[in-house]
Amino acid sequence: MASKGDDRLSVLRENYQDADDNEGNDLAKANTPELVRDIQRNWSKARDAYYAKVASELSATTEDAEKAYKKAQDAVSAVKTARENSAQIAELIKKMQSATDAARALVKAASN
Amino acid sequence: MRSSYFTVFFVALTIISSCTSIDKNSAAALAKAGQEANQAVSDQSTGAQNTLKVLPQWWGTGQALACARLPNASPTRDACLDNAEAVANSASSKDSINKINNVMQKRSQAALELKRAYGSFGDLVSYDASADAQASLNKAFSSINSFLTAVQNFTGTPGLPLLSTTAQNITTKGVGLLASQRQNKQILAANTELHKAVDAFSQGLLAEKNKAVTEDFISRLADERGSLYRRLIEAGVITPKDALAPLVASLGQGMPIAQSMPAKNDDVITKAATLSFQEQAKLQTIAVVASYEAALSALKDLSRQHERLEQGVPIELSDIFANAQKIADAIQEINSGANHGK
Repeated sequence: MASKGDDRLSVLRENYQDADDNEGNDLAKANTPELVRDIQRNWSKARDAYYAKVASELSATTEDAEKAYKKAQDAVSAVKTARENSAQIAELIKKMQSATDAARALVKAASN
Repeated sequence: MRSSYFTVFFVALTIISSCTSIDKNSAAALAKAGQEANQAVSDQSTGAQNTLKVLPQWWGTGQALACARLPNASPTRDACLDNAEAVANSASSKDSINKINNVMQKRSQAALELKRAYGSFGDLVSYDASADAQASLNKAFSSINSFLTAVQNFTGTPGLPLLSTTAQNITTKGVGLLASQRQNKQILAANTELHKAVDAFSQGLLAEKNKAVTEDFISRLADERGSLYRRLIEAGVITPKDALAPLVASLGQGMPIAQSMPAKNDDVITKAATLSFQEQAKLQTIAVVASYEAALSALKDLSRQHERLEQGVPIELSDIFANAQKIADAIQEINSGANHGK
């Protein structure tokens, strides 16, 4: 299934799948404890090889995941700041005060 | 004179305000779509994490059950059972699970952070800066009028005109426009940041190798479930009859399954039950991969829509919602398959 990305993973998956699907039948045919242990160990090694490869490939891209995480955090901060800035009326009040001063001047002028 | 002053003020603000325009309804819808898509991505990673947690239990149980294929009270069965625990959970498997779990956790966190960002984006868009500015200015005018009244009372000077209602309306509208324009700029800036974040996230997940490994891994998790189920049937923990009951019910004929099965068909029924579940597991695998593809498509769509919002082009959210729905449906199907297997 993963041949597009890595053929080795496909081989490991197939090997594990085969060992897993057939373990019961293989055990049924084993006539000595040694053979039983060999079958079990083979299943275990096949599984370990597959998951180790998955872990290694995914961990190699952890950097991407971490970058994405950082970007996401930056976006959260940016949006939060934007929200605060928008909500922050201080600057607007300054503009309003200018308008108010102008209005007061008008009132004063009108009353003279 | 007063009238002309306010007219100039109002016109100037209108010109400034017209420089930045944004469709707030589109932005609000994009915020909602972003939250849904990222929640779905997070759910997916969390689902994989949940299966990872139970894998050691599945492997241990499966290894012990596999020994049922060996003759009772035989040296081979004893050896099989003695060795089952050791092979089920090796140091290597624990290490791999921890590493994979770490990646899934980071993905889930990144998706949740993005979901939060989209939530804040929605708050930013729905916040009515204009109304807030007008309320503040009304307070200011009220203070001025109080001040003027106080001056009149103090000096006894008659005829100081208070600010008229008309003048207040013109001025507050002007200030409201300033506030809206400022808010539009903030929305556009936030949109750009979200665009960057969703691009980084989807590009990371879309990297060819990463995508292929993830799809392979999550489909293998569905196979692990199928494998354990097969062993449960083969060891007689689940009767083949019970295993086939959901299939018989799904045929919709309302025919009850037989209370007892002919003993001579035990092997046939066991094989049929195993095959039935294997096919069910394959359907789950397809659903898992489809949901991952849908998640990636939803993120790509989000990126495109951010671009449209930046350009002032009407955005199209139907694909994002459709993909989010696909993911939700797939997760439901996977869970329903999981329950079927229990």
